[in-house]
Amino acid sequence: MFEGFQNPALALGALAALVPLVIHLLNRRRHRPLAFGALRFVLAAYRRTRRRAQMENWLLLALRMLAVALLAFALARPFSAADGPLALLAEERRDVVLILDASASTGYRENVASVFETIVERAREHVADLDASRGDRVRILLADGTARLIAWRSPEEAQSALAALDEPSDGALDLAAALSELRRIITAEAAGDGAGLEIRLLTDVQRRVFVTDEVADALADDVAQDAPTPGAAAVAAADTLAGAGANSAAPSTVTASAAEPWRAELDALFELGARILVEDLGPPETLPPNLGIQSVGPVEPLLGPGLPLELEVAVTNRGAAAALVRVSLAIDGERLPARALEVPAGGVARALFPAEFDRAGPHLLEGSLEGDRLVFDDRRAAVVHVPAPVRLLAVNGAPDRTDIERDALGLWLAALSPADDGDGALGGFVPFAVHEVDALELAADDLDLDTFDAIVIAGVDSLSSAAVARLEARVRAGAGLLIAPGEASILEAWNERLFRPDGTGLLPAQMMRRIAVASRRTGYFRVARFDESHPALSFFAEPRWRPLFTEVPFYEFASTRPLADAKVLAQLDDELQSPLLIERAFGAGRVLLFTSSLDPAWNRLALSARTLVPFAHEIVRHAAHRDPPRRTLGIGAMIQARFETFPRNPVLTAPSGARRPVEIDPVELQGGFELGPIAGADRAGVWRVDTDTGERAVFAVQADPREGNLERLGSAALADLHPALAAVNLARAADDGAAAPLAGGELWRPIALACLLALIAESLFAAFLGRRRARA
Amino acid sequence: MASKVSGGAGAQAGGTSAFDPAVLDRLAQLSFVARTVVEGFMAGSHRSPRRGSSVEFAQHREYVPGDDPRFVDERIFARSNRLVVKEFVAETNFALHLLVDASASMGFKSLRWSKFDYARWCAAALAYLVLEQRDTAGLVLFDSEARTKVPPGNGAAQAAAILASLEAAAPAGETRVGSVLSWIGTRLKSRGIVAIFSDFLDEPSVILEGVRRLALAGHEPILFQVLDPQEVDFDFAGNLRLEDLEGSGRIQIDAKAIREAYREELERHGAELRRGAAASGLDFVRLVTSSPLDVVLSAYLARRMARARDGRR
Repeated sequence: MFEGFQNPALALGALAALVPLVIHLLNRRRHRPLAFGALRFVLAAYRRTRRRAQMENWLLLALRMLAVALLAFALARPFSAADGPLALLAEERRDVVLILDASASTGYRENVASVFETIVERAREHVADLDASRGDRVRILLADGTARLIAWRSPEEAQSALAALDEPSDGALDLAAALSELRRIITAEAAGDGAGLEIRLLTDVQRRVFVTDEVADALADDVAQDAPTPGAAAVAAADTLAGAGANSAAPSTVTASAAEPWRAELDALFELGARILVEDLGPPETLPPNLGIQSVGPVEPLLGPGLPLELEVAVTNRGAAAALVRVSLAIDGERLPARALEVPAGGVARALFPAEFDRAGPHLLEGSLEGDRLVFDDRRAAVVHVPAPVRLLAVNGAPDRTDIERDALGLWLAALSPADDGDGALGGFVPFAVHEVDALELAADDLDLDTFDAIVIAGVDSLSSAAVARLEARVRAGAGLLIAPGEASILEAWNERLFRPDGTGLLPAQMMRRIAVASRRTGYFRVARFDESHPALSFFAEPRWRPLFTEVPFYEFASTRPLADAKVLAQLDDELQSPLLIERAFGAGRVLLFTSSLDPAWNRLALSARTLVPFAHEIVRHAAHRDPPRRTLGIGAMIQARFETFPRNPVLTAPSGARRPVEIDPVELQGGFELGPIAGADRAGVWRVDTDTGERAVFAVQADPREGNLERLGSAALADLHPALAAVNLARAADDGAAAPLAGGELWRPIALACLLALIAESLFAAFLGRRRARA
Repeated sequence: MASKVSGGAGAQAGGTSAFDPAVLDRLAQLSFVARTVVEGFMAGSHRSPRRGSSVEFAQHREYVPGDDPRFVDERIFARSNRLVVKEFVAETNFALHLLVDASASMGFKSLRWSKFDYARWCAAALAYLVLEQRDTAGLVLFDSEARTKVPPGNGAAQAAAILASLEAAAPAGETRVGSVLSWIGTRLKSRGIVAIFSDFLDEPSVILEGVRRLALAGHEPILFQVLDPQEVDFDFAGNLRLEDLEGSGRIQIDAKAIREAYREELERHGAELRRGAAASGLDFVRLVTSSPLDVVLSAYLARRMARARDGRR
């Protein structure tokens, strides 16, 4: 009978209808005893009037109970379904859900008002049409990267929530998340019946919301092959996408449902009877023009301070016409002269800025465009890390100052620390700070291994226990170790000091025996295969540099038995495919074992400068590499700040300038303190964590530049996407026949009227009985 | 000849009337009650039973010591210097039989006095009146049967006996008016007026049958129905558990709900008795214990005068 109650708890008040019954029953038990003589007349009168008196009393009682019950129900404010038995009595009640697109693209401003402001205003209009007194309800979902319910009660509360919305987020619209929240609302609050809800999605109908970039790219690739021109390819892709939602045959190899998580949510909503009216509040163009910064950063990887380099700001033109724009870049707050940049339609152009970092560490880059209609992608920040010179300790097992080729590390050190007076290509840049010692000095107390990022040990016969202990401690703490045997190396001693089968030793493999070619004149080993993706070897992945590594002759090497968790990075072409380069993590650091010598005694690698230089640089840099703290984050990511000193009274400053204290206890790590995770980086731009000690950690939060793609989905294509969606033509007076039915109405007024009638009937009947019995 | 007597001819306003039951209730002895009522009745506009009664001179006889000197014929003494006394026609054949219902139902009262108190006041007053007139009076107290009998007689001793019986009685037992009247009718030797004081809470047909038997036996019954005001009005409120004074009957009722029907039943019962009495030429007088007692006396005297005129014996 009743679909539900506005105030369900008050419906229990209907139990109060039992009170008159209880009073009646209690009164029936209270009879005043009286001895009477003329009982014969009483008996006769009682027999005559018993039935009528009972009926009168019960009718009076029933009227009283009915009045109480009706009053309780009226206060509980029941409502009926639209097709319920009491629908004719019900007042029309609307149950509305408004989903507001608060993604960054809605910041597009064509006229005075932005798309987001239009969306909010439209939501206000919808809410203003509601009447709380008849039980209308409204829920407002604010949708961007997440979906948040910002109002769920009265229209008044909804208006207050809307008044607090002033700008969209910097994130993209996650339609699946919004639909999932909608499904939760229907399941939890509407008894699983979506048919009674009026659901409206107020959006700019951005195409990438409904067609993910992956699907769009795949479809575009499929159709572009047959398209005569790129423009035709784009049109064909759009047409194909429009037909994909209508189950028409699409030539895509990527099915829409697999790549569009919102489709499964719409299927579920459709099963619940929900229909979503999509109000297109975006700009009139299908492809609104927009310029946005796609990326900011160095053209080449940063090697270190003091090196001249180029920084680029890549600008994307989403429009249909080429655009000329002024691009500027600031480095650590210092603005460089702006550059004029012509960006082709639908293309990317890059503005280059020469720069030179004078110090190692993090540097803030801020690119900006002169403003266009969508502001969020006109600025983009990034924090780049300029690595400091690698501090290398070279342990020379066989030094020879007279002959560099006989020195175990002579050629290597020459490659790592070339003499450069500043006029050369490096311009004074020193990528490695090398300190050479011998094996005995390695154990000396005055040698602080903590000051080195990487250690190279070449050709030692053995190492003392003390030296091994210090090495283990340093590598475990994060340093890298490159170790290679030589002519003087005693493999058994190596195993004894450096290898343990349980992996607690430094060596990643057990040294077996020396293997040499029978004659260097007739044969040699070569590199059979290597890990091309490994940072230390990726240089040789390029086909033109590959032979520099694979054609180097190897005459002798030490066979090894790697541990199970060790990784073989390169293998020789002997019968056993013996490892040449083996890597294994050791604590926070890593150990790389080169099974041949670093000097020319066992191979000719060191004699090939074009092989040695990139190989030595990359492997040492890799050994010493530590991922710098992430300073460039996405929207919503957690901030982890590192400080050298204890961060007292840390304060987080947002891009808007708003500040708030960070109330998290810092954690002490080796070399400093870590503060985090700090939540709340929900806006793109530069975030800062400052402490009382003067240290500052800077973070660049970046929005997804693809959100600047404002291409819109046509209403026809939208309607064909899914049967649960219907496009609303705002130019017409009525919806396109897809308006959701009104929910069942409130019944409290007719019930209150019935209660009043029951009370009047009870009063009149009681008065009638009283007068009739008094007249007797 | 049936006559309908309405009460109140000698009643006075306020609680000071001699007929006011409230006044009589304060009198300790029944003899005082009887005298108060009768003298009050006689002091009013009622015809003196002595002066206006049809008492006839019968004969003279020689004076003997002890005779009342008021009855010495003065003319004869003056003429003959003989002391002779007048003898009147003694109504030695007129008797008043008082039948008073002493069943338990007569003990009901909503005032300070019960129906039985009221009935015996009436009976005492009538006995006093009759015996003062040198008529004969007798008394029967009954419930389901005759309980106490004072055979008809006259004189001071008779009055004392009647009053003493009335004072000693207490209401108890069940009511069987009809059967008692039928039985008494065969036992009364001297014909006369039979004043029946009862609430008549019995079947009217049975009551009337008994009354007719009395009439057939030559008597003149007067039915005095004594009821309490609450029995007449049934002006109770709320839920009551009524218990029968004469039995184990019990019922729980909503008083207001059955009031109208109760009154109808009472009136129907009274109307049937009244019709039955009128059909036999008899009087039926309803007495409410809140009403003055002169109604009783007026009714009796009216019947007495009618009997005297008709010369019935």
